[in-house]
Amino acid sequence: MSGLQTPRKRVEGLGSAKHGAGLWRRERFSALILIPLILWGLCSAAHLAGGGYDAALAWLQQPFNLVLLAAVLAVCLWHMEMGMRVIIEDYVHGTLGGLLVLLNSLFCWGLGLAAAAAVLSGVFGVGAGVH
Amino acid sequence: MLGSILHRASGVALYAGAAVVTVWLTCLAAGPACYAGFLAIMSSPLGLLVWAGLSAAAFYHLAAGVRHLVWDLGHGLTPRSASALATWSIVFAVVATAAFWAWLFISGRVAL
Repeated sequence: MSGLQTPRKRVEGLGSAKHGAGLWRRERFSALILIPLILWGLCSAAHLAGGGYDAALAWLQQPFNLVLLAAVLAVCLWHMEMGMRVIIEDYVHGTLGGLLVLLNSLFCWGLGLAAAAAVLSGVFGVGAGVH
Repeated sequence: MLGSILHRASGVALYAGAAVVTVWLTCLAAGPACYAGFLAIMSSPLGLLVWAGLSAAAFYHLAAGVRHLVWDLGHGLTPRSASALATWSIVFAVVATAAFWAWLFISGRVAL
Protein backbone atom coordinates (compact mmCIF):
# COMPACT_ATOMS: atom_id res chain seq x y z
CA MET A 1 0.00 0.00 0.00
CA SER A 2 2.76 2.35 0.91
CA GLY A 3 4.28 1.65 -2.48
CA LEU A 4 1.57 3.76 -4.03
CA GLN A 5 2.51 6.78 -1.92
CA THR A 6 5.13 9.29 -2.88
CA PRO A 7 8.06 9.61 -0.45
CA ARG A 8 6.79 13.04 0.52
CA LYS A 9 3.31 11.70 1.31
CA ARG A 10 4.84 9.02 3.55
CA VAL A 11 6.67 11.48 5.81
CA GLU A 12 4.07 14.23 5.80
CA GLY A 13 2.61 14.93 9.20
CA LEU A 14 5.29 12.97 11.06
CA GLY A 15 6.71 16.11 12.61
CA SER A 16 9.34 18.70 11.99
CA ALA A 17 12.81 17.68 10.92
CA LYS A 18 14.22 21.14 11.40
CA HIS A 19 16.19 20.30 14.57
CA GLY A 20 17.65 17.03 13.29
CA ALA A 21 21.14 18.49 13.06
CA GLY A 22 21.07 19.82 16.62
CA LEU A 23 23.01 17.01 18.29
CA TRP A 24 25.55 16.93 15.48
CA ARG A 25 26.08 20.67 15.83
CA ARG A 26 26.42 20.51 19.62
CA GLU A 27 29.01 17.72 19.35
CA ARG A 28 31.13 19.77 16.95
CA PHE A 29 30.65 23.02 18.85
CA SER A 30 31.71 21.48 22.17
CA ALA A 31 34.64 19.70 20.45
CA LEU A 32 35.84 22.99 18.99
CA ILE A 33 35.72 24.78 22.36
CA LEU A 34 37.49 21.85 24.01
CA ILE A 35 40.59 22.10 21.78
CA PRO A 36 42.08 25.11 23.61
CA LEU A 37 40.46 24.18 26.94
CA ILE A 38 41.92 20.66 27.08
CA LEU A 39 45.38 21.93 26.14
CA TRP A 40 45.11 24.40 29.01
CA GLY A 41 43.92 21.55 31.27
CA LEU A 42 46.93 19.39 30.36
CA CYS A 43 49.31 22.33 30.97
CA SER A 44 47.63 22.95 34.33
CA ALA A 45 47.90 19.28 35.27
CA ALA A 46 51.63 19.37 34.47
CA HIS A 47 51.98 22.60 36.48
CA LEU A 48 50.17 21.10 39.49
CA ALA A 49 51.99 17.75 39.39
CA GLY A 50 54.40 17.35 42.26
CA GLY A 51 52.94 20.31 44.14
CA GLY A 52 51.16 19.75 47.41
CA TYR A 53 47.87 20.81 48.94
CA ASP A 54 48.78 24.49 49.40
CA ALA A 55 49.99 24.88 45.83
CA ALA A 56 46.84 23.25 44.44
CA LEU A 57 44.55 25.39 46.59
CA ALA A 58 46.44 28.58 45.67
CA TRP A 59 46.15 27.61 42.00
CA LEU A 60 42.40 27.02 42.33
CA GLN A 61 41.89 30.39 44.02
CA GLN A 62 43.31 32.32 41.05
CA PRO A 63 40.22 33.75 39.29
CA PHE A 64 41.66 32.95 35.84
CA ASN A 65 42.15 29.28 36.77
CA LEU A 66 38.78 29.09 38.49
CA VAL A 67 36.88 30.35 35.45
CA LEU A 68 38.77 28.13 33.00
CA LEU A 69 38.43 25.09 35.26
CA ALA A 70 34.68 25.66 35.49
CA ALA A 71 34.54 26.02 31.70
CA VAL A 72 36.61 22.92 31.00
CA LEU A 73 34.51 20.85 33.43
CA ALA A 74 31.20 22.09 32.07
CA VAL A 75 32.09 21.60 28.39
CA CYS A 76 33.82 18.24 29.06
CA LEU A 77 30.77 16.89 30.89
CA TRP A 78 28.46 18.19 28.16
CA HIS A 79 30.64 16.62 25.45
CA MET A 80 31.06 13.27 27.22
CA GLU A 81 27.36 13.02 27.98
CA MET A 82 26.66 13.30 24.23
CA GLY A 83 29.52 10.95 23.33
CA MET A 84 28.55 8.20 25.77
CA ARG A 85 24.94 8.51 24.67
CA VAL A 86 25.95 7.78 21.08
CA ILE A 87 27.96 4.74 22.19
CA ILE A 88 25.05 3.40 24.27
CA GLU A 89 22.58 3.95 21.42
CA ASP A 90 24.91 2.08 19.05
CA TYR A 91 25.31 -1.05 21.18
CA VAL A 92 22.40 -1.30 23.63
CA HIS A 93 18.79 -1.26 22.47
CA GLY A 94 15.39 -1.42 24.12
CA THR A 95 14.55 -0.65 27.72
CA LEU A 96 18.08 -1.28 28.98
CA GLY A 97 19.46 1.17 26.44
CA GLY A 98 17.01 3.84 27.54
CA LEU A 99 17.90 3.19 31.16
CA LEU A 100 21.62 3.48 30.44
CA VAL A 101 21.10 6.76 28.57
CA LEU A 102 19.27 8.07 31.62
CA LEU A 103 22.00 6.83 33.99
CA ASN A 104 24.61 8.44 31.75
CA SER A 105 22.88 11.81 32.06
CA LEU A 106 22.50 11.42 35.82
CA PHE A 107 26.17 10.47 36.17
CA CYS A 108 27.36 13.49 34.19
CA TRP A 109 25.08 15.87 36.09
CA GLY A 110 26.19 14.30 39.37
CA LEU A 111 29.87 14.76 38.52
CA GLY A 112 29.20 18.35 37.53
CA LEU A 113 27.37 19.14 40.77
CA ALA A 114 30.02 17.39 42.90
CA ALA A 115 32.81 19.26 41.11
CA ALA A 116 30.96 22.58 41.45
CA ALA A 117 30.41 21.99 45.17
CA ALA A 118 34.08 21.07 45.64
CA VAL A 119 35.32 24.11 43.71
CA LEU A 120 33.02 26.46 45.63
CA SER A 121 34.02 25.10 49.01
CA GLY A 122 37.70 25.09 47.98
CA VAL A 123 37.60 28.69 46.83
CA PHE A 124 35.27 30.30 49.34
CA GLY A 125 36.16 28.08 52.26
CA VAL A 126 32.63 26.80 52.76
CA GLY A 127 33.05 23.99 55.25
CA ALA A 128 36.60 25.07 56.13
CA GLY A 129 37.35 24.04 59.70
CA VAL A 130 35.01 21.09 59.54
CA HIS A 131 37.91 18.67 59.46
CA MET B 1 39.02 1.39 11.62
CA LEU B 2 41.58 1.25 14.43
CA GLY B 3 41.50 5.04 14.60
CA SER B 4 37.74 5.04 15.06
CA ILE B 5 37.79 2.33 17.75
CA LEU B 6 40.56 4.16 19.60
CA HIS B 7 38.53 7.38 19.44
CA ARG B 8 35.67 5.67 21.27
CA ALA B 9 37.93 3.82 23.70
CA SER B 10 39.82 7.00 24.59
CA GLY B 11 36.51 8.81 25.02
CA VAL B 12 35.34 6.15 27.48
CA ALA B 13 38.68 6.38 29.32
CA LEU B 14 38.31 10.17 29.58
CA TYR B 15 34.78 9.63 30.91
CA ALA B 16 36.38 7.80 33.83
CA GLY B 17 39.07 10.50 33.90
CA ALA B 18 36.42 13.15 34.57
CA ALA B 19 35.45 11.15 37.66
CA VAL B 20 39.10 11.06 38.79
CA VAL B 21 39.38 14.85 38.37
CA THR B 22 36.16 15.30 40.36
CA VAL B 23 37.57 13.11 43.16
CA TRP B 24 40.76 15.23 43.06
CA LEU B 25 38.71 18.44 43.48
CA THR B 26 36.61 16.89 46.24
CA CYS B 27 39.73 15.83 48.14
CA LEU B 28 41.19 19.31 47.68
CA ALA B 29 38.02 20.80 49.16
CA ALA B 30 37.92 18.24 51.98
CA GLY B 31 41.27 19.37 53.38
CA PRO B 32 44.97 18.47 53.68
CA ALA B 33 44.47 15.00 55.15
CA CYS B 34 42.14 13.83 52.39
CA TYR B 35 44.35 15.45 49.76
CA ALA B 36 47.44 13.65 51.10
CA GLY B 37 45.56 10.37 50.80
CA PHE B 38 44.62 11.14 47.19
CA LEU B 39 48.23 12.07 46.36
CA ALA B 40 49.56 8.91 47.99
CA ILE B 41 47.34 6.75 45.79
CA MET B 42 47.70 8.75 42.58
CA SER B 43 51.49 9.21 42.81
CA SER B 44 52.07 5.48 43.33
CA PRO B 45 53.30 3.56 40.27
CA LEU B 46 49.74 2.34 39.65
CA GLY B 47 48.39 5.88 40.02
CA LEU B 48 51.00 7.23 37.60
CA LEU B 49 49.95 4.51 35.15
CA VAL B 50 46.37 5.80 35.40
CA TRP B 51 47.53 9.39 34.76
CA ALA B 52 49.71 8.22 31.88
CA GLY B 53 46.77 6.38 30.33
CA LEU B 54 44.51 9.40 30.78
CA SER B 55 47.04 11.78 29.21
CA ALA B 56 47.51 9.41 26.25
CA ALA B 57 43.71 9.16 25.89
CA ALA B 58 43.43 12.96 26.02
CA PHE B 59 46.10 13.51 23.36
CA TYR B 60 44.64 10.82 21.10
CA HIS B 61 41.02 11.94 21.52
CA LEU B 62 42.12 15.51 20.79
CA ALA B 63 43.92 14.52 17.58
CA ALA B 64 41.12 12.20 16.45
CA GLY B 65 38.56 14.91 17.22
CA VAL B 66 40.45 17.43 15.10
CA ARG B 67 40.55 14.75 12.37
CA HIS B 68 36.75 14.56 12.52
CA LEU B 69 36.46 18.34 12.31
CA VAL B 70 38.73 18.29 9.25
CA TRP B 71 36.43 15.69 7.66
CA ASP B 72 33.38 17.79 8.56
CA LEU B 73 34.94 20.64 6.57
CA GLY B 74 35.03 18.30 3.59
CA HIS B 75 38.77 17.63 3.54
CA GLY B 76 40.76 14.40 3.75
CA LEU B 77 37.86 12.15 2.77
CA THR B 78 39.62 9.86 0.27
CA PRO B 79 40.45 6.41 1.74
CA ARG B 80 44.16 7.19 1.39
CA SER B 81 44.10 10.54 3.20
CA ALA B 82 41.64 9.25 5.81
CA SER B 83 44.10 6.47 6.69
CA ALA B 84 46.95 8.97 6.75
CA LEU B 85 45.00 11.19 9.17
CA ALA B 86 44.36 8.18 11.43
CA THR B 87 48.05 7.27 11.41
CA TRP B 88 49.08 10.84 12.19
CA SER B 89 46.59 11.00 15.07
CA ILE B 90 48.22 7.94 16.64
CA VAL B 91 51.73 9.29 15.99
CA PHE B 92 50.76 12.63 17.54
CA ALA B 93 49.30 10.92 20.63
CA VAL B 94 52.42 8.79 21.16
CA VAL B 95 54.87 11.67 20.65
CA ALA B 96 52.85 14.18 22.74
CA THR B 97 52.38 11.69 25.60
CA ALA B 98 56.09 10.81 25.59
CA ALA B 99 57.10 14.49 25.54
CA PHE B 100 54.60 15.34 28.30
CA TRP B 101 55.94 12.63 30.61
CA ALA B 102 59.58 13.25 29.71
CA TRP B 103 59.10 16.86 30.80
CA LEU B 104 57.33 15.78 34.02
CA PHE B 105 60.19 13.44 34.95
CA ILE B 106 63.05 15.71 33.83
CA SER B 107 61.63 18.73 35.67
CA GLY B 108 61.40 16.56 38.79
CA ARG B 109 57.65 17.05 39.22
CA VAL B 110 57.06 13.33 39.02
CA ALA B 111 59.30 10.52 40.25
CA LEU B 112 58.91 6.79 40.46
